[in-house]
Amino acid sequence: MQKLALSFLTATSLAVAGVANAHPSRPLPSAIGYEPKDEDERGLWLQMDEFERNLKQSKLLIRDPELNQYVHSVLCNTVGSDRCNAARIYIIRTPYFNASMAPNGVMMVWSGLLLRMRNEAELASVLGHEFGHFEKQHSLQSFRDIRAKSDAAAWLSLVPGAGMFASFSLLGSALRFNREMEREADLISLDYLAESGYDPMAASNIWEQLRAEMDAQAKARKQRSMKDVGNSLWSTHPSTKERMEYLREAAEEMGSEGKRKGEAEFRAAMQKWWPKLVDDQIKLNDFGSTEFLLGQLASDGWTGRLLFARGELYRARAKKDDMTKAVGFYRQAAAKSDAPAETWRGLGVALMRLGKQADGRAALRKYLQKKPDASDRAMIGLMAREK
Amino acid sequence: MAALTDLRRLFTHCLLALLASFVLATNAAVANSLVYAGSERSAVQEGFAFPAGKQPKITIMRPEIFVGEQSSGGLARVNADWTKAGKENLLFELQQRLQKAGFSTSVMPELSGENETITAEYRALFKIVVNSAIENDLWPADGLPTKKGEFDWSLGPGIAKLSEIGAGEFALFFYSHDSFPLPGRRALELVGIAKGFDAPEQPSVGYAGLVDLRNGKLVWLNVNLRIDGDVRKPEGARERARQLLNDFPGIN
Repeated sequence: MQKLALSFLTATSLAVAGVANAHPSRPLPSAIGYEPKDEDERGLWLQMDEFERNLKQSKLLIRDPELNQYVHSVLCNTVGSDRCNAARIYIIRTPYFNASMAPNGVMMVWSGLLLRMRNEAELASVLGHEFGHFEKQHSLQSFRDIRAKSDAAAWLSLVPGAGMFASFSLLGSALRFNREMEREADLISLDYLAESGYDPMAASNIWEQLRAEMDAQAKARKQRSMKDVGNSLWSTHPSTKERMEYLREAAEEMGSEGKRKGEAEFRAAMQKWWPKLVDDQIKLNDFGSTEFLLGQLASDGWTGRLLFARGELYRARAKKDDMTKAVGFYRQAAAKSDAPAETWRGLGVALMRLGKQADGRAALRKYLQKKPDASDRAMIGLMAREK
Repeated sequence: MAALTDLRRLFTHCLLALLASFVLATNAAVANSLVYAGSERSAVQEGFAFPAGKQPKITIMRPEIFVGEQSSGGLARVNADWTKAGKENLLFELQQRLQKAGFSTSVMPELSGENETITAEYRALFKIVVNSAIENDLWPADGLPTKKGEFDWSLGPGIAKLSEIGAGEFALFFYSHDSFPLPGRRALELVGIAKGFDAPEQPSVGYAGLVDLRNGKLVWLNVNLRIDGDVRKPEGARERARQLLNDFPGIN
């Protein structure tokens, strides 16, 4: 999470670059049949095509056709069905907040980002931001900018004394250019949202939410919140505070009232994946963030699955009252119809840790009854003293 | 290593890392090994000999090739045309050289679905094994104690699957990476040297290895951190192929 502030939507970070959009007559990269034009662009595409080839084989890809179809359809709703097909979306199973865009149309969305979205409009704003990088050819622009500035810096570095400072200022200027492109992509995304009828306030809300998560994380770790750390000349992206503010201002101008948020659709599409993504998040050992995210997911009430997850979180931390609290959450979960079988496994283990061996074993046996083909049957059976 | 092996590293959060990542598709381990002394080393599995009495069949796996140029500031740019020419030239010249030495050769065709997954996995595994062999065997600065003295590396017998999906008895994997300095870079190097600064050129790097698909053994490996031959041209590619196949068993 500390990295969030810096890394959000680093997408372009892969292969950054871009030309100063000065060719209105040039076809956009999203046009059907677009081919890379000059040597810089063709070189970047070649590298990214090779990268995509490997990406397709990755074990980290979420291949679920329904989820992929859903994310694709949100992109199409956002940028239009004529252009959205130029982007190929890959959902990567990794519990951090990021998305990215390569110049050849490869868009990567991390599962940790999906876990942090609350509605379709928020997802649309992220996809719109990435698509904005793509259409504006930011990777190509950035590549050229870095090359020009690093060339100059290399020569300047030969000048004793002042040359070094001048080189640093060029590096700073390359980073400033990157921040400008991020801002541009943010604002392009707002236009997409407005055109497609999604609530433009969603974009600002993401940052507000993320900053609140950083506060929650810091509190649990008894550290200073990262939300305003690391904003400097050396940042690749505008600060979260800045983004939250300029996006809110622009959205207010556009009008947010009555615009589509798509909360129900988003929930329906994510239903199947939430338990897995929550489980990934719990394993990060990031108590504050996880507790915060669970609370957010439970905004409509605590389901059996969410209570189970909360029990798992407390049991994993295992500080002084955590086992007792975990038992409480597992018991609440067990009373709900959607509690997963693992609720009784967690309950059993937590009870045994509290010294309640008989109750614990009974819960473990209940787990095995509910899930006869459990992959950990041998171990849990042993703990439960099953025959 | 291959981009995929560490997705998170791909997203390193600052432009400095970005710049570094642009130093072409430089294989990290090979780049690191630039610090090792001596620029070319090879090894053959002890006691290895091709089966007698028949012509061994060698299949060349989809190689990793990038040909590009280096700007004054050291930023590398891949050139799509050069890369395409380099790939064609090298595949041709490697086969020529192997055929002259009496081997039967083929190039692994483009595959799809499950078969492509299997070959992609073995290409990735090959890179990992080669990097280990470089660090622990060819340039054993502080190598694994059990790997001292004997060239003994394997990709595992499961690789026999490649034979089932079209490869011969042996698979040749190779890597070739060129970054030609632009005139500005050359000038910078000269001025820098004159002034006592260091603006290192980025030499061409190549390696090749042969795997016995019957048992997975890496039977031969040659790594050259300063390889010659301009692969954009047929005669240059011929020289590159000759150097890549240095000490190949059965070729003098």
